[in-house]
Amino acid sequence: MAEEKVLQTNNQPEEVANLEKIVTPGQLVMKRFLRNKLAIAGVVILVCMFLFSFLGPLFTSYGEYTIFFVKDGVEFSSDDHKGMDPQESGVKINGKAKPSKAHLLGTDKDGRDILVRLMYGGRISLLIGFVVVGLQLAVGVIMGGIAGYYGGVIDNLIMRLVDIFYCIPTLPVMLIVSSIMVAYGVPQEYKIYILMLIMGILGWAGVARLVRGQILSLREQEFMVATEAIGLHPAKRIMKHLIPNVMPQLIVIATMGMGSVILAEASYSYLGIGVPFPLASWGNMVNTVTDPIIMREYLNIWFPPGFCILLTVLGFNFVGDGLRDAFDPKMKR
Amino acid sequence: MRQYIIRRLFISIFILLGVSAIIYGLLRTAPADYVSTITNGIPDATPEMKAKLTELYGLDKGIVEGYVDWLSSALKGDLGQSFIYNKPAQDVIKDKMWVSFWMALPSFILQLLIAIPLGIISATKQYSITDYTVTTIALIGISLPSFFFAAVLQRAFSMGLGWFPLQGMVTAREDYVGFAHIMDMAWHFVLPITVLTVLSIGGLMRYSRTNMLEVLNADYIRTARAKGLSEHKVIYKHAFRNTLIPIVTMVGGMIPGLFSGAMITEGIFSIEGLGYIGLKALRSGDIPFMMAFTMFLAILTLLGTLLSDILYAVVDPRVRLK
Repeated sequence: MAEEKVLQTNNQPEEVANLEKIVTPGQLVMKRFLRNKLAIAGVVILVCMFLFSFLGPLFTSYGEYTIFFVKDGVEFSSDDHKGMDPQESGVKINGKAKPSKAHLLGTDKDGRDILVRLMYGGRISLLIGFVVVGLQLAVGVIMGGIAGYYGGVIDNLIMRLVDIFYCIPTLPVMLIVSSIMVAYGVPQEYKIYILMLIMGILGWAGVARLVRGQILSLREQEFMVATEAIGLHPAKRIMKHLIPNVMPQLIVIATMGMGSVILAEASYSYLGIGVPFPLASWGNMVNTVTDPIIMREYLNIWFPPGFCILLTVLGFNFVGDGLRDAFDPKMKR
Repeated sequence: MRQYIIRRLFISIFILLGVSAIIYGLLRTAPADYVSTITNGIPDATPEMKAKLTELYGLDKGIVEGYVDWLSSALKGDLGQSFIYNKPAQDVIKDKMWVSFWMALPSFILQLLIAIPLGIISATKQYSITDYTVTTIALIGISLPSFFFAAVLQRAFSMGLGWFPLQGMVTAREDYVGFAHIMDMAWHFVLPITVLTVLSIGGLMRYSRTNMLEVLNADYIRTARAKGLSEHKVIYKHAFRNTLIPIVTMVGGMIPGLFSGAMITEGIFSIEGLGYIGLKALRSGDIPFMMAFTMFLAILTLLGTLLSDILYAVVDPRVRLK
């Protein structure tokens, strides 16, 4: 008690707090992360994007594929005919509508609400991001873990495989795969799963390299000798004792990976080999820009989806960058 | 050192074999081969004609046999005729890679001139407003989808302001020669080069920043400060030189990539570089060209990593390669 008083008179309340409370490494990381304004901005962006994409559709009566028609200035949709028939003469698709109260961002050239399509596009992008990064991590951690732990011939074999996958150019392979799918008539709804699978298979090499490198240095340390001495099963040694030590780097690589996977998916969709029509995706919504009239006159059609991609990827990069700084023990702050 | 390089080259051969086998297998499973693509447009193409074309292009063999054939002629330096160009595939690549190179080189130089100083400044003023601004800009660059950024530039600077052409490499129907031709091309390259530069600045900038921070935390920097050197000398003479080691390594590894072409950017701006041609070949099932193209890309990647590893030893006398 006396000691505390002395410190308090020294006017250093922070030090008192440190003496009273033991700060765990996790709390330290948290504290460093929360001090980073850009990282907080990233978290805010991501939360907003998640709410927008996953909860947004609940607040609208329009569906992803709802097409709007117009007759004599009266609008009706393919979901709610309002007693009118879309086949009737004089009925037109309400395409490329300017932003209005009914359609805050207008409609696209097929007469679908852009704001609603943005929400569904976000769902797809985020979902693909999670699944693909999950796949990459799973394969990468297992392969990298095995290579780093066993070393020798196994390590050599796996690492050459990593080299091969590292050298395969992704975009050409995606184009080839997409033309194979078209040729074999793969149904549209399965294409997205194959897309995720291929993206996962092509992207695990980086994760495997990282995990292997870390494990090579970790396995020489005393605590690993101890696990060997008490006779733990290798699988348990890898999963329980080695992987948790690689966790910080994995979290960073996964966050940054989310950004790059979303970006890659958007490019594939832009090229028409990603998320298949009629599913909405930000990439294929930007693709409408190839029509010069839309590029010039209808910014509301192609700008918002592009901006959404930018914001989401930026959010993941901010958070990933902040996490890397927060996890780095050399960063004093 | 020589032993190390020889060993790496030896491993590279196996990697290339693996890559080529995977790509060839994939390409051949696609039924959308070139013959059916061209004969689709001709209603009175007889089966005999098709068979003849198939044989001509070597598509009648099995996958394994076809691969062995491809491999043996590739080793002799013959990568096969490109279907759509009717020229040896390696000649098409040789022609087009220079277009890509001349587009990538200015962007590469700009990138070095902008990214490295910004990275250094942002490290020396860590957690200042400058640092936050530079970091934000860098991350925005990394996060921009190329096609979206290209569209924004096209809309603003060629449709809106009319400063730059929308697409293409030269002005149509104006047969400029000599210097005027070069200026015309440069004028057409401004927007694509901007796209490439802005997109790639972030990576190098973050890398310079991280490494500079690491160096600034080193003991010898504290010593330099303790013996009373000016801050300018500490940063530019002691810290910057040591930061250059990882930067040179990374930049060296980027050089082969200058030839690879940018598929999406070239496609949007209709620039007849390797990326644009590659995209076109992929869409029409030009197997020999596709094989040559992907192998070329794989070789560039391998060269890049090899070059950066070698540079690492050359620049940093402490490193000995085994």
